[in-house]
Amino acid sequence: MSQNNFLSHQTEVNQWVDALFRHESGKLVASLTRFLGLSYLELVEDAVQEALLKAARQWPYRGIPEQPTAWLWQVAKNQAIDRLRREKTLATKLSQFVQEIDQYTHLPEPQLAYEIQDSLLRLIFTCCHPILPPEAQVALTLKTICGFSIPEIARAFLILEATVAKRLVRAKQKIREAGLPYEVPQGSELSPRLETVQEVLYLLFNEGYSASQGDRLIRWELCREAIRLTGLLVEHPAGDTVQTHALLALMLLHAARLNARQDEGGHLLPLAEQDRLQWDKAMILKGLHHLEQATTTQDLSEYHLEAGIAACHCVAPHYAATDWPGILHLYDLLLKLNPSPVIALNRAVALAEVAGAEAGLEAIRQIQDSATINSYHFFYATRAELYLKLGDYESACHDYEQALTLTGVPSEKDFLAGKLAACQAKLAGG
Amino acid sequence: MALMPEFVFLIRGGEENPQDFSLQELQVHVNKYFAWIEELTQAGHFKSGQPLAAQGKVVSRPAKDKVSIKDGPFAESKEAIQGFFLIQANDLNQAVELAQGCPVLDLGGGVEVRPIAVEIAQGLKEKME
Repeated sequence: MSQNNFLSHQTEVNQWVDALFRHESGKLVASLTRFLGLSYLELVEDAVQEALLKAARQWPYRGIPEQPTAWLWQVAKNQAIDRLRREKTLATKLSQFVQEIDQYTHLPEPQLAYEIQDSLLRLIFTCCHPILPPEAQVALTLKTICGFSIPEIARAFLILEATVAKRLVRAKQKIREAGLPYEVPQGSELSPRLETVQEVLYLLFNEGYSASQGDRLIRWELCREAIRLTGLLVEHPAGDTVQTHALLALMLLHAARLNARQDEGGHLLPLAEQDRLQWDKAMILKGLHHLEQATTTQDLSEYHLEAGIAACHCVAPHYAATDWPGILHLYDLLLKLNPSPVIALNRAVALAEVAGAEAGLEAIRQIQDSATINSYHFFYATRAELYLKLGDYESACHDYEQALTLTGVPSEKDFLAGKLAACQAKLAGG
Repeated sequence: MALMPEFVFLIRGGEENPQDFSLQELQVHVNKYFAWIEELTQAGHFKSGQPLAAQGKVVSRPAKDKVSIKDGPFAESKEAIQGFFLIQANDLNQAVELAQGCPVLDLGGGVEVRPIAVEIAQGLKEKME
């Protein structure tokens, strides 16, 4: 275990080591919980945390072990055993655990890989259980499966650490009290439960993607985790449905364009000004592949339509070549499934591209009285854009000012302030 | 060929509250170590390293016919040695320079750089040959 170890592993390891601890943490928690049950979730999490701490203390000196996963598993298992041993009342639990887990450790590699994936799915279904409120589902998923710390979750959602901690404690308590089985639901139970999981993953992705607030790096990490977990879901027989494929497609097709959304100074760039060469082509292809998988049946979900819209943007070589009539059609369908003013607003943008700014404004007038929409900065920014196109600089200025008061994100504030200044100059110049 | 002098880097402290670290921060810290070792390895300085466990005993003889064996909670002490590296360098100056890249410094820890007594080592080697 000397220098050779570093030389032979380092390059290969560097590629996945960035999130190794966080990802292994989820796998270890998922696998150990299988043997101990959900009522020991806390003990399992502590044991896993300790194993990762040991790795952090030892690996720097000796290099990464030949089989890091097996190393961590061994140490985490021993930590769990130590913790059970400390409680005299858990003697039966302990001997049962030691017996069962020994067989597991000796499973052949492919079977073990499947079992780990299966355990992760059980954990995902647990964290997204409908007895938990949505914000607790998201927090628990991030903490338990994605290995986020409480401060990281707090920073991602701009909430107090104490609030996150309370949510987690309550969620675990609820899981214990309800005596939830640790399993992937089957039969008629599966479909509604799968829907909840998809909703949580969608929420997770959107939180990262919409970048309304909070630490940018952490938010990008939310997107990556949502994609990773949806990828796991789609590979498991229980999660392999057209909706999951559509959900994964929509995430990939949005994430592929994230890099181009801001310029080097961190300023937001509208779609028309983005450098499309910066879009991640491999990710787009992957997204299109999943979209294709999603359309093997007649089923149509919101995820399908949103993925379809994202795909239209992704395949356009430049802004002017965007298939706006196609996008408008998808928005029409989407609005039928979910008559939300936010979707109607986005539809108005597409309509303006197809039928002109006046038509877009008319569509916006129909939703402007809704309470959700008129406190939404994007509503005013969108309307301002249309006024601008029609040469109504006064109305545009007014709307940009309104939008500015409604967002707290610096990059968005900059963007809007720039637009407002340009608009005011036009107004002054006549 | 003259033997290149060897040094022991004793890594002290710097891990006061590792449990306060998020996994991401731990990861970043470990990656910094790997990058440092990789650099030392590429340049032919790195020989080996070992971490030390937190538990252990201290054996001493306070009185003539009495042996004392005490538990050492080593990890808790701010000055505790976390581990060591065996490093090759041209001289003490270079070794000290190399030690300045050690990530433990970012966490408020320190590196004790100690030359291995070369005269003895070389003497032994000649004898063996």
